[in-house]
Formats: sequence, C-alpha cells, structure tokens
Amino acid sequence: MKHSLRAIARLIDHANLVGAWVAAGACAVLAAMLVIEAVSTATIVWSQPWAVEYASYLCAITLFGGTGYALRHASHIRVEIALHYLPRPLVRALDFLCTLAALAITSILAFGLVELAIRSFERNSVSYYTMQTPLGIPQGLLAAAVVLLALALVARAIRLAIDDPPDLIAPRAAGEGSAE
Amino acid sequence: MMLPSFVVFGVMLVLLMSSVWIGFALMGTGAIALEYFRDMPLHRVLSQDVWARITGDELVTLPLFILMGDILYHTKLSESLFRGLAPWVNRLPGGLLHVNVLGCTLFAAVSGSSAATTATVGRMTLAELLKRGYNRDLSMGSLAGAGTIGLLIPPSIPLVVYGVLAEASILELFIAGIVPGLIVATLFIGWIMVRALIDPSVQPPRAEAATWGERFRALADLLPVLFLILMVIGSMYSGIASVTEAAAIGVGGALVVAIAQGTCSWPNMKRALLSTVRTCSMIGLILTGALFLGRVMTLLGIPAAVSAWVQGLGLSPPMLILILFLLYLILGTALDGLSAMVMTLPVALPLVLGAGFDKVWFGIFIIVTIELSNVSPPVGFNLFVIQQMTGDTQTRVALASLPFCLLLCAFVALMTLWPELIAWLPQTMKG
Repeated sequence: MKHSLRAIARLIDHANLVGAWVAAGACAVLAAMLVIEAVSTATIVWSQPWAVEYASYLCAITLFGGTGYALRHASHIRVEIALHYLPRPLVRALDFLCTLAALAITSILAFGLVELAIRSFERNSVSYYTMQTPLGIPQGLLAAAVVLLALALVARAIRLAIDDPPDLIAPRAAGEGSAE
Repeated sequence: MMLPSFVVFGVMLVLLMSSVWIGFALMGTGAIALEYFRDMPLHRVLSQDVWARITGDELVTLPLFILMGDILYHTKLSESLFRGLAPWVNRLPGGLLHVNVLGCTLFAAVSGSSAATTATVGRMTLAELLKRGYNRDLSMGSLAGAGTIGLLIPPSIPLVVYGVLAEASILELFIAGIVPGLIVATLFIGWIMVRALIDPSVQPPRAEAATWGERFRALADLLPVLFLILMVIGSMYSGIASVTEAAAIGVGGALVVAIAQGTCSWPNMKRALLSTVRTCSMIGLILTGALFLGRVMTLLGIPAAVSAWVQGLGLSPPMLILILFLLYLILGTALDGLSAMVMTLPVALPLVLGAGFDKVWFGIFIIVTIELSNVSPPVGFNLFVIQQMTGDTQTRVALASLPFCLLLCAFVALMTLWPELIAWLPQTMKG
C-alpha cells in the first residue's frame, strides 16, 4: 500500500518538474521576446504585434507553472512558529490539516479556472488584442498549472499520511532564489 | 461594517498562525469572507479575479528582474566589485569595510533582491575582510545593513509588488528609491568611519595607498556592473525602453556578463532558471492571495470602515506613521517583509493616503520597514545569509547589525519629517 502511494507521489513530482520546466521556458521566451521588442522598436521602428499580449500569458505561466514544484522544494512562505514549538506528532497532524486546507482552496480555484477555459472554448472567446488569440488556450494552461499545484498538495498529504518527509529541501546557496 | 472586519482579521490570524502557507491563507480568508457575507459563486469570482490580475501588464517585470539576479548570482561579479573598489577606499577610516557598502550599492542597481545583494557581495568581501583582520562584528553588520540597499535602489522586486498592489507607477517608484538608497548608503559609510575613528582596532594597520594609476586601472573591474547599470537604468530613464523592456534588456546584459566571465554554463543556467521559477512561484502565490483578499475586503467595505475608525481617533499624520512603523516591526518578528506588506496594504494604504501622504512616499516607507525586518531576528533574510557564510549565531549577527538597523530607523524619521527627500527626484524628472 505504502509502496503504491509513494509511486503516485513520485509520479506527481515528475509532472510538477515538467511544469517547472515549462515555467522556466516561458520565462526564457519572455525575456527573448522582449529583448527583440526593445531592439526592433528602437532600431527599425517595428513592434511585434503579439508582444504585449503574449508577454502577459508567458508571465502567468512563469508565475504559476512551477508552484507545485516550489511546494515540493519548500519554497512557499509560511509562519512556522507553531511547527517549531509543537511536539512532532502534533506537527505532522497540523501540517496535514494545513495541506488539506490549501488543497481545498486550490481545488476551488482549479475548478473555476477549468470551467473558465471550457466556457471560453465553447463561446469561441478571443482576446481583445490584434492577435485575437482564443482565450481558452492560455486559460487552459493556467488551469493546468493550478491542477498541478492541487496534485502537489495531494502528494504532500500522502507523504504526511505515510510518515515520509513532505518536503524536498535541497541545500541552496545563501541568497539564491530570494525575493527580498 | 465591524463584523466583516473582525471575521476577516480573525480568520486570517487563525490560518496564518496554524502555519497555512501565506498565499493560501490570504486566498482562504477571502474565500470564507465572500461565502459568509456575499451571495456570489466563489469559484467563478476567484478564478476570474486570478485570471484578470495574473495577466496584468505590470507583473511582467517581476520574473525578468528575478531571472537577471539569478543569472548574475552565478557570475564573478563580486570578485570584480572587490578588485575595482578596494584601491579607492583602503586609506579611508574603516578601509575595506566600505567595499561592503559601495559594493552593495552598485550591485543593488542590477539586482532587485536584498538577500541576493548580501550574498553576492558578501561571498567575496566577508572572507577577505576577516582574513585581513577587520573587526568581525563590523564586517558582518555592515554587510547585513548594506544588503538592504538592494531593495531601495532600482530595480527592486518588492517595489514592483508594491506598485502592482497599490496601482502606483513602477517607474516613479524606481526613481523615488534612488535618493533614499544613496542617503542610507551615506549614513552607513559615515557610521563605519565614526567607528573606525573612535576605535582604530576595528581595522588592521592601514595599507599603503594605491597609486592613482592603480586606482584607475582597477576601474576596469567595475566595467561589467557599470555596463549592466547603463543597460537597465540607462535604458529605462532615458525613455529608450519601458520598465518591462529594461528588465528584459537586463536579462540579456546579465547573459553577456556571464558569457564574458566564462560562467554561462548549462548547470549554472539550469540553476538560475529553476531558482527563478521557485521565487516567482512563491511571489505569485502570495500576490494572487493578496490581490483576491484585497478585492473581497473592498467589496465588504473593510478598508473604508477601518479608515473611518482610525480617523475617529484623531491621530496626527506622524503619529499614524509611527504606529504603522511599530506595527511593521512587530509583524517583522513573525513574517518576512514582503508578506507583511501584501497582507496589510489593503487597509494601510487608504489610511496613509487619508493622512495626506502619497502612494510613492508610502512605497518607500514600506520598503525601508521591510529592510528592517530583513536585518531583525528571527526571520531576517540577510541575517540568515550571513549566518550561512560565517557560521556565527543569529544573535551575534543580529547584534552586529543593530547599529545599521538604528540608522534605518533614523532614516524613517528623516523621511517622515521631510517627505521631499522622496518626492524631489520624481518631481524633478517629471519637470
């Protein structure tokens, strides 16, 4: 039983790693596209008609594609006072409840985003930019990213339930990957 | 109006103190309040709000500045900074300790993160300073303090987040951060000089002065960082590029520096990209939660109710600022500064605007208070960075940073008494 649950959690990890690489790729494409935009508008007075619109979609994917991966790597911030001072069995129980609470809100968001994407496809909604992109595509990608986050929370709950370490804390260099 | 306020603050407190991740806690608080006080389909409101906010133009800057910092973290920029600055300061009282402050000030102009600034500059300076016999506490304290300048001098990631939440011009915020950043750097340099004059034992016997030829030759080592400053800040302020394009140009410039210094390897780029994804995810989740909660609070009329209640107390503007300052200091003992900012902004901003301060001024105020939380225990990022480098206890690093914290407090008093310190440069550049 434990073996099967571990396999499911590992599968979810792999899916989230793919999500992280999609986010990383989106970030790299975003940078390349905007460098081209800055250079082309300054030199040959030509602007990519898709730059503004696709920059915002790429940004959304960068911000959300790796949230499940970030959860696995304990990169999301939380107030850890209770976790530091409670005895270990209580810490695991509290951590499990926190994971379920996060899963509940993520599931509501994922459900809403999937429904939003489906509605956009059904109504053939397109963006108001010149490219008139079918909105269901970027909305579907964002929904997929949030579904991955929900799955990462499921994997975390599984690990807590079978007493495995819930987070993968790789040693990170000081200051690396910090917003502050 | 008081019931929704109590419910929102009560639920938020319970979720946060139960260790629910901050982004989820904010989103959950908004969801519970919406379910309880309004008859609206929660999943639709939440998903449409997230979609609309997360695809806003102003957020595009964020991943780019983070990626730029992560690429530069893996270059040899810290070594270049040390070699370039050392000959200019080694005869000053305090000697090479000034490299901490000047190095952080220069690096701040190409990095949006305080912890990254501290780590990048400190990686080279701390080992050198300690090896040459400089006072350990002053070496650590000056680095922790100077690292905070990374948040004031543009580009600054928390300033971008503030601009998005407060709907303020990010360019104007970036311009407004320059003078305060330079004043704080001057205060730090002044304090190091005073300490060295009072107690000459904080530095080793003075080295021989470098010749002018050596000094000017050393400037060549500053070229990479000057090149990046020119690309990012130059393109932005000259109007050649928008803030977003300048951020992308910065990523391109960082790659050029990495290639030139031979650090543009696949393992380094992989680390930089995945580190960027982790940071973006962390900020993205908090920001989404804060934006949703902010919208729910506005729907329930909470900011207006709290504002009316505080105005009823008849506080003078400086008193209001003092109370907010103390509140952020207290929050800083349990939360990182960015989280404290996004959680309190929906209520704090209307109060401050009502007291006659403007959005840009409050943006800089809140960044300085975030800086303070970065150098105060137990969740100060900079303390953690230096602890990892030196192996000293957090208490020792925090005590070493105390004089620099007090200087930041003094700067808050200065900017409250003379708000022109913040407003002058943006107004001058606007003409």
